[in-house]
Amino acid sequence: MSCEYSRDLHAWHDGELSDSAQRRIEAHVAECEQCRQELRELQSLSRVLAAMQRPTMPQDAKQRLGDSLLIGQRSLLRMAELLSAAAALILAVGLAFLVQGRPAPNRTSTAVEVTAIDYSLPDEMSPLDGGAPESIELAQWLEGLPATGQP
Amino acid sequence: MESLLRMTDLELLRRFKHGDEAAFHELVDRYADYLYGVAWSLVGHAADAEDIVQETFAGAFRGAAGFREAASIKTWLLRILMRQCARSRRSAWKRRVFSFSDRPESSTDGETAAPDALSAPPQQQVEHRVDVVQMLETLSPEHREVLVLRELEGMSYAEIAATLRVPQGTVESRLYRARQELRERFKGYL
Repeated sequence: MSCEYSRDLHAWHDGELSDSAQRRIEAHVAECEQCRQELRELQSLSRVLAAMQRPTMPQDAKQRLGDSLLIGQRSLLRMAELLSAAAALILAVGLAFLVQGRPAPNRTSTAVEVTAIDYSLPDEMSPLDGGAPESIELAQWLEGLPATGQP
Repeated sequence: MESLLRMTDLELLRRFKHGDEAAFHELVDRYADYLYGVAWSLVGHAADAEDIVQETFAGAFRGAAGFREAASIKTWLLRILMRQCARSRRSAWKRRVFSFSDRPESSTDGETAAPDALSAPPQQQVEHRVDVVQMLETLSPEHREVLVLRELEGMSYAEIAATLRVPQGTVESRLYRARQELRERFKGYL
């Protein structure tokens, strides 16, 4: 069974009492053997704990700590890069949708325009000139199309 | 680099916030040993202590932007460390490994384990007979942390309350109960 002053005794031991409370407990301790014994044990406990030797961080652990922080920095940077790339991709896809979302041009008029284009070769150029044979073939093919644009 | 050495903790953190990572590494150099010592006292295991310190600095690295400079850097780091310790305890609880097996070779306090050593030598040599780590192990984590912060770190009740974010009265009663438990358990050796 602890003395009723026991809690104050602990606070006094820790230097946490006000001046008036400190005077009160000092006066009490002078008369109470139980509190004197408890105070001796508290002081002993403090000495035991204070004498505890704690290790410093081993050098290899410090090295690992430094490495882990570097890795952390790198992964943060990598994440920032990935996020930037993702944002750019989203922007690009969004723009593409916007462009595609415009009203489509009139296909009939396009066909008419296509048939109206003169794909005949200039007089000075023959298919054997070698400039762009595939273009010439395309032009010839288009010339054979009916006016609806259907092959 | 030399200029970093002359800077205060706060100056270093401000520099880090502006992108100077070397400043953060200087803080790591300053506090690694201290935090490791506290972590080791709380978990009693070198590998766990190392993990906790690593997580503490990683947390500080990520959370530096949110640091409002209301506390000292030391208190801020200690606060993160205490949270990491609590997290570590939760996972250790699952693993059930609180073996306290790898104590520092330099320790002079670990020769004999109390209370198994109740048949040990006379009382005047108590500091050298009681295994302090094992003694702390007998306490609940909440009691252990207040005792470590008070007795080993020399923090006031108000500082402990601020670090653990609990009322000062809670600190006082936990500390009282922790000491009473130890007095009871190690009666005759204190």
